[in-house]
Amino acid sequence: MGFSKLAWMEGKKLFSQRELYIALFLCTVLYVMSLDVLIDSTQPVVFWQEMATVMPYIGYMLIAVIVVVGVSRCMPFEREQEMEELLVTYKGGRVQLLAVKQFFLFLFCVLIVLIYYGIASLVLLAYASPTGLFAQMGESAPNYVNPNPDWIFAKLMLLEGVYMVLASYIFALFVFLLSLFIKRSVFIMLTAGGIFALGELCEKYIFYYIQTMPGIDYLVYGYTYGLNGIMSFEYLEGHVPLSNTEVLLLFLCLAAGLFTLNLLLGRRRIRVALGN
Amino acid sequence: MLPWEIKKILRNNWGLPAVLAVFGFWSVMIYFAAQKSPAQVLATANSFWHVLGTLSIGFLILAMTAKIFILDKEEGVKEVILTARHGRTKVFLTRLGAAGLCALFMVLLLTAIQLAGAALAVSPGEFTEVVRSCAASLPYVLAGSVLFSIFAACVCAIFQSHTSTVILCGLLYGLTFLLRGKLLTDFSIEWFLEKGFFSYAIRSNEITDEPQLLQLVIWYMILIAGTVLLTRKLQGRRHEL
Repeated sequence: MGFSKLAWMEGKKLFSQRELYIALFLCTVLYVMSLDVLIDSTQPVVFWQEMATVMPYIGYMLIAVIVVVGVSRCMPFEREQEMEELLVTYKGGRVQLLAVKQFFLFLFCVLIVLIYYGIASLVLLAYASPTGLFAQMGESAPNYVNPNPDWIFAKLMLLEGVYMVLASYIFALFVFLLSLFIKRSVFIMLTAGGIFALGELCEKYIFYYIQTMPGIDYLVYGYTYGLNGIMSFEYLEGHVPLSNTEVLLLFLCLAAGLFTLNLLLGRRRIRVALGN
Repeated sequence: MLPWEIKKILRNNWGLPAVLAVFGFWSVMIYFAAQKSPAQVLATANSFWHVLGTLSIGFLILAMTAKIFILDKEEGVKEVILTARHGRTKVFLTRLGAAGLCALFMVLLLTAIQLAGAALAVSPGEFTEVVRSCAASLPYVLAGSVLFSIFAACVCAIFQSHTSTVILCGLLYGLTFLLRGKLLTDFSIEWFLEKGFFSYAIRSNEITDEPQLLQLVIWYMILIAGTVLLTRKLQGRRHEL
């Protein structure tokens, strides 16, 4: 089976999950409600300004939930369908299968990010006039994820979109890595979701209680530079001494590193399982 | 049969690490509150159920008690269980009872952790105040936890999937931490989403002053009765009763 056909089959497997649609529905409801709160009805709505704000405000959390749900069952799918032994006999080998799975996860992340930007634009169009939106893209973009006031909305949105895709892909590869060590999808989901939720919990509640702790700075660095920081745009908010291009390059390297690590570990694990 | 079901729930590998993690977090929070001021310790000791306790009991219920409703399928003994001598209804009701009892036990365990942490850092007089505050919130926490465990159990029985249960119940349970402020108009969809899925009761810091408490209790009763009836109906259709 060719690479594209295999990717198509993996896509079908991923989108056949009932859980994904439950999460997508609930997260979308929450997202629309949050957008409604975000918009200040007393001020005129600047479409691109709101579009640039929504993802760092709440969108990243919901994308993280969807990624966790979608990716958790990516590896255990064959085992839960009792066809793992059959896959061992696959002609292309396990490495190719792992590569295809990880490649499809990238498409999945792109799709989810596009869906969420699409929903945001539909909701915001109910508040903002659609006339002059293209002209507005060329205006200066005052936004807290963008320290450079010379940037226009088009450039900012492009950066934000690429950043979100790469960040969610890194998170997806991390969940994939977990799934090499945990057998059941539900526990992969609980572990990955727990790790992400713990980071958010620390940032929003626990750091307040432990302000006086001697090593608190290291914990804050752990949040800023860790998975939560990657997902929540900390790297673009001026807390990290890197330019935007360097941040994107760093993310590409991280994604490539995780991709390779997953291939190596996945290959090693099946050899052990086969007693080789 | 009940002790057997309880044993199945408590045999779960995730219970002990989760309880130890809660204990660790709680100790750290109390320790650093003690570094600030005695008033901060008291405030922290009373706030156990606001975030940490609520999230912990939610995790324990979803990871442990809901699981027995899918365990037969996962272990490939579903057909055998369906031939239960005293009827499948009894099996289902016994499991609901076991889930409720285990939720009760977990709440008491977490309360013991809360009090143990507080006892180490506050004076005897303040400890009495913590115990009083804890006793005042305990009925809400117990009721919320038992109802949530029954709700999660029914969702698991309906979907026949632990993963779907964790997602659906987990997101509905967590909404109370996400929906705040401007969204809260009485009896709006947002109001039901924020307060209507038991975590609001378990958090216990606001429900004591809730002006719509009676309506909220009626909603909880309707939700639980509706979910149990729907579960029975679907189980009947699938010939599981």
